[in-house]
Amino acid sequence: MGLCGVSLDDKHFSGIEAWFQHYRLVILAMVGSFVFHGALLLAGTYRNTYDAYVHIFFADHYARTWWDLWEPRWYTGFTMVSYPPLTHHLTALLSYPFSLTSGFIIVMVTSSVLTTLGVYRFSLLWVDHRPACYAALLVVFSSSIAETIHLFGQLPTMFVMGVMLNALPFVAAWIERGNPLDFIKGLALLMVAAAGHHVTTLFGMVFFSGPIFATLLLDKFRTPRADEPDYSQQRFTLGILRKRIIIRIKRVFPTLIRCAMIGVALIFIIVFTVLPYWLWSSSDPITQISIPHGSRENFIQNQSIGFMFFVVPWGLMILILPYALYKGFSSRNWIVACSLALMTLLGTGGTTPIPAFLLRAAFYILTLDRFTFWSTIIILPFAGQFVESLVHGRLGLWLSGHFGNLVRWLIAASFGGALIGVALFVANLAQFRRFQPAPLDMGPIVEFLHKDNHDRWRYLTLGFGDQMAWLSAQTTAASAEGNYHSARRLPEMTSTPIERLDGAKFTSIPGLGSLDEFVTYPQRYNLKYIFLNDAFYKPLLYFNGWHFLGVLDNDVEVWERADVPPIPTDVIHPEYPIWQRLMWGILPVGSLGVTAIAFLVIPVLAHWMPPLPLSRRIRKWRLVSGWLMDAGTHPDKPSDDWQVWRILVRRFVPPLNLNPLVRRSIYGTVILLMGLAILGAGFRQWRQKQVSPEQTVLAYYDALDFKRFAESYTYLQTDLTQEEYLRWLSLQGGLVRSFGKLNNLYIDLEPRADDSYQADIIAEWLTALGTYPQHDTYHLIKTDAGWKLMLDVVPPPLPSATLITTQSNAYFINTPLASLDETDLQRGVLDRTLLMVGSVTVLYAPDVPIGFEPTEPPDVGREGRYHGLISVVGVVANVDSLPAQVTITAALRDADGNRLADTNAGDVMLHQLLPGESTPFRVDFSGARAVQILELDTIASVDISIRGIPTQYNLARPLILTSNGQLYNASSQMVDVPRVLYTTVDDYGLSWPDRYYLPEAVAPDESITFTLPDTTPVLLPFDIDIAINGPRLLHDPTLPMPALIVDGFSQ
Amino acid sequence: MRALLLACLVWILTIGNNLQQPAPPLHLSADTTLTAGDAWQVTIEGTPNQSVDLALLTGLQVLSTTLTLDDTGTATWPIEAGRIINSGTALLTAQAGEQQATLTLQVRPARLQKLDLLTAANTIRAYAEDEAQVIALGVDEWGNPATQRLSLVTTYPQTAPHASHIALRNGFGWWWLPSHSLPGRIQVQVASTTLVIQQTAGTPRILSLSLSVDCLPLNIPATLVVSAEARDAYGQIVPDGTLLHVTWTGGGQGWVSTIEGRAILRLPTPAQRGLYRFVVASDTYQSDGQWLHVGVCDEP
Repeated sequence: MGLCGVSLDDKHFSGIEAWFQHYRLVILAMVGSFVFHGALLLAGTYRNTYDAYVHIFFADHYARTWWDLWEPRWYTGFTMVSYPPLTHHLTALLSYPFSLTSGFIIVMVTSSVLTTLGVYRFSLLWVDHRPACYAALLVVFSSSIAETIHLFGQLPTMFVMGVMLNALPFVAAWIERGNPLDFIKGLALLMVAAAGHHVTTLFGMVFFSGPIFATLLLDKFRTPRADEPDYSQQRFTLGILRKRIIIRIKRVFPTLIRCAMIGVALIFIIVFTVLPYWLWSSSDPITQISIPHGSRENFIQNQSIGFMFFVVPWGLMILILPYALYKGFSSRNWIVACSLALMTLLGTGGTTPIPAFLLRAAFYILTLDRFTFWSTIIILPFAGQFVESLVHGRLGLWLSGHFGNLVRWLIAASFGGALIGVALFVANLAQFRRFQPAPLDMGPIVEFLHKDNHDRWRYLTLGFGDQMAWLSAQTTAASAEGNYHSARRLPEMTSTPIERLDGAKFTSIPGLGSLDEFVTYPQRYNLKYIFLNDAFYKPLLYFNGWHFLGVLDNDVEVWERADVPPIPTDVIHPEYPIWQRLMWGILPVGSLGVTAIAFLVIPVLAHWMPPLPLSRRIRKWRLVSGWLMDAGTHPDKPSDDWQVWRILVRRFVPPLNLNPLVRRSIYGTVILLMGLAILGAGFRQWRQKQVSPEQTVLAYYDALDFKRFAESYTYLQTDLTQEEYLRWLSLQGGLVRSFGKLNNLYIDLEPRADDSYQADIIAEWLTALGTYPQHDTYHLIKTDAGWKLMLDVVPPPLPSATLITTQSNAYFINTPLASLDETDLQRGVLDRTLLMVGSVTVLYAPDVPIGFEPTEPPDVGREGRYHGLISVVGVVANVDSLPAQVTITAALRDADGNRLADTNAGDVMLHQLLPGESTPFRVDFSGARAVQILELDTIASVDISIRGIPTQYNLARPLILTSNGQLYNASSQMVDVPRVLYTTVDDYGLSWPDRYYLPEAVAPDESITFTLPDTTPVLLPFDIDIAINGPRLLHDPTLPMPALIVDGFSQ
Repeated sequence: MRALLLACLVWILTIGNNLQQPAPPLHLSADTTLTAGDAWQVTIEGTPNQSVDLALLTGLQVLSTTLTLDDTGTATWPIEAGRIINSGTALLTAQAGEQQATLTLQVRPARLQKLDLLTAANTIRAYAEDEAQVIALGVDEWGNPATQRLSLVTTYPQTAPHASHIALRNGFGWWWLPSHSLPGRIQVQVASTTLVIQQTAGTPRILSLSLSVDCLPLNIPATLVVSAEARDAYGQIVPDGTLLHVTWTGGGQGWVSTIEGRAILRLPTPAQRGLYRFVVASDTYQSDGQWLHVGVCDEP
């Protein structure tokens, strides 16, 4: 007997036809799942997912080197034991006859079919066969499944869910009946699940098997054993109470023991199957800053996140949730309903403080959308009941009785149609609303990396999204970052809440801070190439000494940094013992073999082998037969009322004994009123937003932010034609307009007497070089077409024919890739430029922040020195006859000569110097490694390395300072981001070079005025030993530090 | 008794005979030096008809064979040309039962076949004011670092070739090449490999400046062309791309690169009426000032 009185194993059919007839809906569901998800995956939905390419990359690792547990291509190397491998192993195996992507699709489709079958089997534990069949049909078009597969690409999650749901009926059967065969089958399947993803198995089992355990224990608790005496007729005394308690303990004890056995066995299996993972995680715990995840947001305040993590996964099931809770709490399935309610609540993330309160520190580690996903699965037995009631049961009869059959079937068909429609919509959501950059053809990048030894350096992608994993899977070249943040160990990445450098701009200043460390000091990571698919980062690269190399056929820009050493030939990495490598390579896949043996071999052996005499004898022991084995159900005795407090409760709180119709009417009315209230509030809020002046301002800035300039015109009331407006906009270029992203928008609306509004707006634009708050004031008036922003500007003049001629030098510097085969003498590191360095000082600015300081739980209070900038300041000149790319590296050392921190001069210097040109420089020790220097006393000296190589890039000097505070563009190119390098001297004679980026562009033959900010911090001399060296370096302490230099970036 | 005597006789004839004639030790004889890639042979002497295992360890290579000594207790292992190719010390071991013998072979690199000339400065200033480090990397046909004395021919601009020698040790040799004479190309030839180093003029020392006009009318758009010329201390034009710094009254400054010693800066008319003094500078050297009047100009 199963939980609901049905057992799969006990069912016998007279023939295949009867079998098919019985399971036709389940088979239909499985075929439907195969076709629906298979077709969508083949159509390429996985390409737009978040995780699919990550799993494909992992599979690629195993396809290349099955036994190697070190993957050098991401994060300067990471261990593969950080993620359970079964799904990746399967994909890798399938990639041999097919391909990696085909392997991924096959495993994913198999997982979806397994999940469909599992939902049916799991539902059978709670409801009858027919509702369970409907549950299986519903899961085919479940929006959460569609989201998991086609938007998130979470292969292990799907795989484990499918396997776990199929394992649970065996677990339930073991607990209920104690048949060892069920125990073995259940554990074998759980081993597969653990090999797929241990955490999902562990946490999922709590919420899925917990209700099974509890319900079965409760059933046993209430069901009298055949051998127990009857005390129901005896007077209640303390002695009788003790006996009753012992009776009930004897009722549940065998079940409890079986629960404990399965629990212990499950823990053993989870530990044993992926033992290298546990060894690694205990020896190398993750200490990174918590990465914000949308599922922890307040879904009401951040509605787009709420849409993704609540509305989409729930889909139509949210309508069934009240029904499910009602059906669950009003039946013996109340414990699974509790699980459903709890997971639903946890899935709401930060919308209420309850999940954070319940989960404590785990709240900031877990991704809470997982709870929503599980909720939408565990609700399915009730949803099956709902459909069954609609099609065959009381709900259908009620509808037919009151509105006729047509309405009943229309409602049923509408529900089905809507379900399919929502599933299709969700699966294709990425087509309507892009979550990822447009798919890129990786071929040209792979070609670039493979030719001319480019793969001897690391590369970085910017603006690729999750496709970077797909690039990694196609090349043996190594990236400086990766797409699996749990494996990161570089402090530059783990000390800020940034998931990936690729999308650094989306994590604002902390994210850009991490990226800045890589861009400023690429030598540390052997990072030479950046593939750019987002113009946002161009100014950052340019001013940190990178140069544009060219555009590939897929429109991706390649940027290069000169003077970077290649990856050392022999990189030291952890060597795993052979037994761990064998375990990792064999056990996860071997779990499938174990399952096959458990299902195919052991039942046959058990059938033919007679019970051992010893086991017969053991079963007769009193301890075993009395306490460890069920004694069968008493045929006559009903379960007596043992809760003595109920007698008291009944005495003081008499039951209401409401008529069912009245009770349902009350419940129904309450639910209806609640629903209406929620809908009304939602509509009111939506309406307010749509028609408010604030919404118009938001829409206008949103259009500007995403460069929908034609649309932005529609929010304006202006005398300009659209053409004039677009021309006016085009003249507003520069760092903010061309490379900025709107970070914050503060709107202050003042009503005016004429029913209009005055809007004072502070638009905080994030650029790769910092944030730029811009203050705008608009007058908003109401028109027939809604609220409009008044734009009153002079129409820009039509472009006139202009001829500007300039002269410039062109350089061709041939630096061959390698002087000799098999040597490390690489391009650009041998031919050195003659440089001259002036006086160098080390300064300390105590008030300047130097790293990301966490201010929110769980990372608040993290140890670190977050203020106090140490800077090396000096001047360097190119005294060679060729332009030079100058790299200045400073390293802080302790008294024993150990290196404490090292970095390069960033954007406070000219990185490329023409012959005779000089520049101030400032090397700032900021970021993760500087934060880790807790005591300044430990710093004893600084080594400075100044080296240059000939370059032909970034040599234009288009700007002229016509007078103090006025720049003139003397070149024939627009200067998009003008920069002023200036040096201030404080009262104590300490020089402080700094830079100022003008937010506006300067057109050729145009001038622009600027005012330098007064940002010089409080400076103190930092008295430590200074050692300066370089391959061709002259020293001249009298070399003057330029007071002011202007240059600029042109696209 | 007769049987005992017979047994003693047999013992004397067999075992005892052996005791009197111990087996000769293994002996290896061959040339102990070899040029990589050449043929080589070793002679093994020992007990007649004995089987001997031979192994030659050279670099990462292991050559091995098993020979049977002839009736005279001698065998020869010829190794044909092109098999021993790694330079350095090679070790030959011979093993016959308990007996062992070794022989050390010094393998010299073959003749230089590939030479790379590298420099740490592709351009240096002329007039003996600068020098470049030149590095030679040479290998033989087997990739062994070559050790050889090579002839070096250096040709400075407008001078005759100068011959000398450099030593290549373990594939590596380096020397300082001083600049000499006037700007131009230095050609360095070692064996059949040539390296060219640019010898350039020095930094600007002689600067001059001229303006396209000496007066510009105020409020009438016009362009002022500032022309600058720079030469080094020897009167040679400075290298192309040399940056000159032009400054003028009122805080104006601009940067221009030279082409053939000259640089041009185009400026709009200053916004303020007055006299403007223009100067071009490089390092601490600067030109004489030139004056521009902005205001009302006389007709030419």
